[in-house]
Amino acid sequence: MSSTLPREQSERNVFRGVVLRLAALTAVLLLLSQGVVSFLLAATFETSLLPDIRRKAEVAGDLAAGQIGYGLSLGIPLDSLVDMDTFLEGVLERNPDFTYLGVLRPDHQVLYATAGDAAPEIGGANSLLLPINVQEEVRAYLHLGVHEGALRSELAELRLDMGTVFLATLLVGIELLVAFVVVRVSGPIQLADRLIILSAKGDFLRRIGLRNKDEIGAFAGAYNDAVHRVNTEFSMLTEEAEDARAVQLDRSVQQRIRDVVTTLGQRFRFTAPGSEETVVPRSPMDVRVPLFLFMLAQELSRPFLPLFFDQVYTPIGFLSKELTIGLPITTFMVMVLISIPIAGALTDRIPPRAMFVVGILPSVIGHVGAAQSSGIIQVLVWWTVAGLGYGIIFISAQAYVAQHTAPTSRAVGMSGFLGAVFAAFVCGPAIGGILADRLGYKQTLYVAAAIAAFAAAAALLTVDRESRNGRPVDLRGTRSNRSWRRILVQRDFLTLTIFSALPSKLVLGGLFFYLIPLFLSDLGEPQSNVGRIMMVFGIACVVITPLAARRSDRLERPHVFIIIGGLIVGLGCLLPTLSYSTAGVLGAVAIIGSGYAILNTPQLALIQKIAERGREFGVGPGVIVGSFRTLERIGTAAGAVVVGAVVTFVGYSEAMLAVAALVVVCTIAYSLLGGMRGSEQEAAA
Amino acid sequence: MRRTLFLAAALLAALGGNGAAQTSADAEPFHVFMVMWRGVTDVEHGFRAHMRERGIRVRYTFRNIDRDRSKIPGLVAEIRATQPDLVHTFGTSATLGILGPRDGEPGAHVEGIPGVFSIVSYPVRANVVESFESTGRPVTGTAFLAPLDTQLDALLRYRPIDTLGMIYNPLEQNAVTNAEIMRDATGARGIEFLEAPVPLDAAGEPDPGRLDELVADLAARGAQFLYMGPDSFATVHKAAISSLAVEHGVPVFAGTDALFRDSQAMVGLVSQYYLIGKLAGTQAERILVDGERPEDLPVASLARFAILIRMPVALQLGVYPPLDLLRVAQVVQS
Repeated sequence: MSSTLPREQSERNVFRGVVLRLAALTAVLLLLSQGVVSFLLAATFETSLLPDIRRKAEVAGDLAAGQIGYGLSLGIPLDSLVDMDTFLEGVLERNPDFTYLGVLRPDHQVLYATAGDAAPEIGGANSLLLPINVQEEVRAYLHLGVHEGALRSELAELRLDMGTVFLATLLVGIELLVAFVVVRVSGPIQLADRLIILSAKGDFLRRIGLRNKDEIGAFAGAYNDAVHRVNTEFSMLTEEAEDARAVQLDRSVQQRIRDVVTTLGQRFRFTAPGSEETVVPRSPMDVRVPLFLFMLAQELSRPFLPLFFDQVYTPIGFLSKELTIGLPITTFMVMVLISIPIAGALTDRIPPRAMFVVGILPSVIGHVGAAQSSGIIQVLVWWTVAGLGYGIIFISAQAYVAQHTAPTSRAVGMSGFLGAVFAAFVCGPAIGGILADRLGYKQTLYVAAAIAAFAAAAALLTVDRESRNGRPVDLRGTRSNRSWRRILVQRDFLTLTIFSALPSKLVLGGLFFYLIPLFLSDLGEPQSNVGRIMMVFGIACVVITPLAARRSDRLERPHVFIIIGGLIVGLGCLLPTLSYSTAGVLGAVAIIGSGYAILNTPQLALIQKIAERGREFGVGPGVIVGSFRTLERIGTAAGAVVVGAVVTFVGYSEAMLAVAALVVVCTIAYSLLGGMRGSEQEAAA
Repeated sequence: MRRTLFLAAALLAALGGNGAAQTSADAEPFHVFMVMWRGVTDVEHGFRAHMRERGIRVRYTFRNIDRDRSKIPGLVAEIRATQPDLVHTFGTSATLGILGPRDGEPGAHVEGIPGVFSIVSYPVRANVVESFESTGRPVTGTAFLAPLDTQLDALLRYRPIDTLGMIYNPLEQNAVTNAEIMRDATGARGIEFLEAPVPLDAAGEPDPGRLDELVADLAARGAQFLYMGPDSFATVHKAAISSLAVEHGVPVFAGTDALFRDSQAMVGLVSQYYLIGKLAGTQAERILVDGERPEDLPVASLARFAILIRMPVALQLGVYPPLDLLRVAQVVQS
């Protein structure tokens, strides 16, 4: 198969530049079109909404002007109107759209005015000048300052939504574009490139297995024809040479002909025409689009899930409400935890494509079931079913990537896999938030189910049908009790897991899957803002992770980054206590995201290091990484319930304070126990 | 406070009596005898509107005295003969003529038929009832005057003042009582109360000839407003008192419709006849439909009164009403 092909030169990513340029072009085009649409929309919005607000202000202003006019018409002199301060302040109080009221002489000299906001410029956008008439004669003006804050905030909201949609569209667009280019264009061409290089070296054993009816397909066909022709010609040549040899009497001539043909056969590699090996361009990218869609579906509910659970809440026994609504999030993660080894075992027997499609089923059912639930128990059951789907998809996608990459390039393959997960992580909550605001929780869950179903369809189309489990991949991480015991006595492993991995995952599970949506909703934020703020976490991760990873690689001091990251996370959790506001939570999310990004890669690097040393105490590296992952997931799973239990007794900001304390204490403990030891070892090395 | 309670009670009773009102629709309509003093007013309109809104079927007999007291005995006879379910009287004269005072001559007035009166300024002094709370006879009615506290608040809405003058007849118990109440009310609000009891003449009667002197004196003492309370001396001399006050640059506040009308009073707080009529209708409903005894029903009071502003006087004095007050007031141009 493809693995037998020489890779060195052909591996160079000739299309990287093309893909990058295409992605950039797409971004520019999207930016342009979105810009135009936004501009037009905003203009429409302003022309349709601004007059409404002005009209409303005019009606209220006319009423006040009418009262003044009535007073004047009764003969009260304009400069002797009584108690105008009270009157104008009263009008101001009854009309929140007004910022200022003033009574002007016909020559615009101010006679009476409200205290507070200054008078807007007459004729300005937020200013209204209403004539006060007595018997068709303008006797005075009522000057109004119109508050356009409501309008502006509505506009800002719309612009934020458009920006979010733009960012999400961009991500989705580039995601799909890259996948398309890789699968349909660059993958086949890379394969052709490799084969042509081989042919140039005289190897005519393979043909490109492409059924595309496009230019790439024609190109592959032409290449295949050429190979076929060469092999046909060679076989004909061989036959002709054989014929020629048969009629030669001179043995030396006979030998000469045989030598020539043999040399030819040695110098080039031919095969019987029609029996060329068919090479199919396959890449781990095939699974990227369905995986992305699936993860996107999964992330849609992120910003409102605990709120939805709160909505269908029904008491369970003695459990507090706060803990109960965190329960489905935990059972979901527990189900993921359980399904991962099971799905891992199944990947040995069931092709990834089938696994992938089948795995989406529980997810779709779980989403639809949860949407139709009317009680917390029902939701719990359905959401746990969805967890089963998540676990299966996670494993089958990973298995697929592992099977389609050589061990040396698995990291690249996995990064593509994680890219899809992260792209979904960034734009899923933002899109979900907007949908939840406009459609409602249940409808958004239905949308998520539809997208998941669509992911299944995409998998059927793109994922390699013939893909078999040629290379067994151990993702199960099955560990005997003995290996567990061996792992758990490892001090490095324990300090890293207990004092860094567990608390940081607890933050992820407890804060992001549970507390932040509740907190922001409590602060009066709509779902779209919750989604956007959660997107900030994803963006912080995406931006900072590679930077931190590069730095920590260079410094070779993962400990330092783990400690710094932990302290930053703790610091971020403090913020809502200092500023109990949306800004406080937003800042916390950004800081926690950054801290999380700083410590995440070094954690993995460190566990790899520990795993490499694992053989010293008789445990394979895979088992150690697997155990680490399992313990991490336990942390994520526990997060919602633990934070829920804390929230039962204290407020949201206090709960974050508690999390901050936990993270900081664990980080300090880690720096004392593990960090020091690590640096000693590094120093010794 | 008590008034509010009474109103609430009346309202509750009215609501409770709804069922009875509906069942009575099939029965014979109630017969209500309406005695008017000067023709149909908004009081009668209000009364009928209330009955209509409550779905109470009523057959009315309207009789207009037309300020001719000689018609009264004939009406009393007619009422005795027709035996209506309820008699409603308008004004003090009609009420005294038809229903009589509490200690009226036996046989001279209607007896044994529930009576409801309206527009009687001083029902206690006229001896129509024993007190507002307990009428002491099968007659009840509606209070016409706004409480003095309410009157003072209305005055202050027009213009905050530091001094308030009041001219009253020291011989009239009612006027003296009013002055006492006003003394307390102004004191509670930190307003200086300038009293001017009308000096008596040789015959021992209050001397209208001294009014000029009294008003000038009050103006000199810095009275920012002159209060005319509901007493008969003030009512008789309202035009003189108010004109003198305006001459001296002092605006006049009138506590009743009668005082405000045909005077130079600048502001007045009065009951609206239509609302009085509806209130009388409520009293009638409680008697007819709910079967309550009139003697158990206190004289009912309105919770809201109308503010009247006489604009020419305000302009003349240069004491202009605030716009917020103009919004709710009725402006009078004469």
